[in-house]
Amino acid sequence: MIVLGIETSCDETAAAVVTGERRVLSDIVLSQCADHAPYGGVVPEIAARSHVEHLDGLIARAMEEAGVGFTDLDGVAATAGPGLIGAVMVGLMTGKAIAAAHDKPLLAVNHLEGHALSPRLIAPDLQFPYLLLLVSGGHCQLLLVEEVDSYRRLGTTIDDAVGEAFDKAAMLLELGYPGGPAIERAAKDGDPTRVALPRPLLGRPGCDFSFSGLKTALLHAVQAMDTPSEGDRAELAASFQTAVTDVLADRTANAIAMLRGSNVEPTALVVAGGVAANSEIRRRIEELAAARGLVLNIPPPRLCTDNAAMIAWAGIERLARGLTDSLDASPRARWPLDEDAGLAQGAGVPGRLGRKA
Amino acid sequence: MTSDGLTLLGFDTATTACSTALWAGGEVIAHRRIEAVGRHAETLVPMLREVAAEGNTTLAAVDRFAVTVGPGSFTGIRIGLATARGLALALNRPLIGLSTLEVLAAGIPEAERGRPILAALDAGRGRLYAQLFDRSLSALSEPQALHVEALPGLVAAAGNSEPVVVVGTGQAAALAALAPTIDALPATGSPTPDARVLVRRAATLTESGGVEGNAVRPLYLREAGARPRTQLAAGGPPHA
Ligand SMILES: Nc1ncnc2c1ncn2[C@@H]1O[C@H](COP(=O)(O)OP(=O)(O)O)[C@@H](O)[C@H]1O
Repeated sequence: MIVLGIETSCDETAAAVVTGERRVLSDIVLSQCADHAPYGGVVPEIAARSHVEHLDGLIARAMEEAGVGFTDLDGVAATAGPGLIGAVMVGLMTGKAIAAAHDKPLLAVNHLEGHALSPRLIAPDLQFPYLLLLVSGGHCQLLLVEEVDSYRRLGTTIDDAVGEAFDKAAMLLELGYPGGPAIERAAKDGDPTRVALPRPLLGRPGCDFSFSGLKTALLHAVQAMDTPSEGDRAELAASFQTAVTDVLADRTANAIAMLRGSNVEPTALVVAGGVAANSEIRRRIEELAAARGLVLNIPPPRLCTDNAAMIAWAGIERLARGLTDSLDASPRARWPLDEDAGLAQGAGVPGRLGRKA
Repeated sequence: MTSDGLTLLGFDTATTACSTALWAGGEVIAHRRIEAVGRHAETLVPMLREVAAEGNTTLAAVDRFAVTVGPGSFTGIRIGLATARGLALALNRPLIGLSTLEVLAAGIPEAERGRPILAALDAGRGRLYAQLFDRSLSALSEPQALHVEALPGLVAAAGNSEPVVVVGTGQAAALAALAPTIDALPATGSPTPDARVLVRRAATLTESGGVEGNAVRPLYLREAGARPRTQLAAGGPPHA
């Protein structure tokens, strides 16, 4: 089985060709990061314009590198949401056109399902169900991955996504964009105990996250310092990173306890999304997994951040189960993974069309 | 080269309508058009297959594709272009991109073509997308986005002193703005682009070799509308 994957839900334009035998024949990502940097965040109209400019050329390259023609494909998988709607549309329409041109099945993939299934692309032995901590620029969720197309959301952020929190914090500290790597770099030289910052929801029951109070506290700490020196900013960055890490570890520990309390034993703890690149977060989650006797699986950074190989792979998993989509599939800005909970597997596919979450 | 043997599929999603037409044997042999505000992304590709099927052909058997590149709704333009570029890539076929304004001008009835044509689309907030063409559809001005009040200036700057005929959703606003200084009449053509006109025009241009090197890129006529962030601020979502 050979599937072309297309991803345009945010600020990466990506195309990849992947096989059912887990071979990634090509995997190209074009980051628009520099285009958005002057704005301190992703500008939706700029993102959409850039996707339409580059996507067809990128797909042509991905096909060429893979050494396959469009007629060799068994399906075309494109991210259909959630994400910036104008950006999502570019990839979905291109995918529909390619599928229609050659009468191939269309897989309208949920971007979050792409992240959720990505560890199975490199770990063939990874069995369902597993616990997923998804930490990216747009999302912060704890999910039980029960099967393809079957997810139980245990917790989510009630305000900012965790990557977004890193980006905003970096802006406050004038460390540049994207914020995550900048905070991590600055934090290396800082004492994380010098500035007292809150840990929202820490110790409270449940698995939800909150980061906006932490961001506000950081703002006040910055303001209290007049003009923070480089050393001050390192301390602030380190304190912020540690506070975020404490929250992530606490909520993940709750999720494990919650599952075990209802007699569900996950086969592994998986961490995905761009924030999984953070070494302090990795270290703490490793400790947690070891302490709880859970196998930890963190896909390599290339597969953690937005990419099309994971979309192609999710397409392969769906195609293998007959979960194809019709050509009138809707692009969706919002699309929670667990909205079909309670429906029979497969029954959710046609019903999904046009629904706004 | 004659367009008789040419099979050309064209579509438009740049404004409120979604329309598709199939050109073969020198005429439009199948077409569909619906008002599809907010439903272009769902409607377009199934419509392309229906129109091809009605013309007893398939997408893979089409020789050329044609699409409107704007001006119009940014999202609508991209829905059309992403689809068109996807088809052209997947089937290795040439793609012809025409402006919505040219398609509007080409759509007015033969009998009303006695004067230069002003195509005007409503761009919201007192603005228009507008372009002036002569009787044979050669452009007399660049397509542009402008305030309604600037319209007489556009017509004058094109060196035009003749009476004009106006087409498009901006027709009423344009006529009102031109009335004091320029003799202008309404045309009866479709106020939004139509794929039947698009494919006819694309076939004509193909025949005359007029589409060589026609880069198919969006014609937005307006900036993305964001301002660089210079101020330190806590608010405002980066993932807006
Ligand atoms: N080392 C890091 N530490 C913390 N956050 C990081 C790190 N590297 C990247 N990030 C964050 O990850 C996010 C990007 O991840 P990605 O999965 O591409 O997310 P999205 O597509 O949802 O924006 C950004 O918010 C970025 O700041």
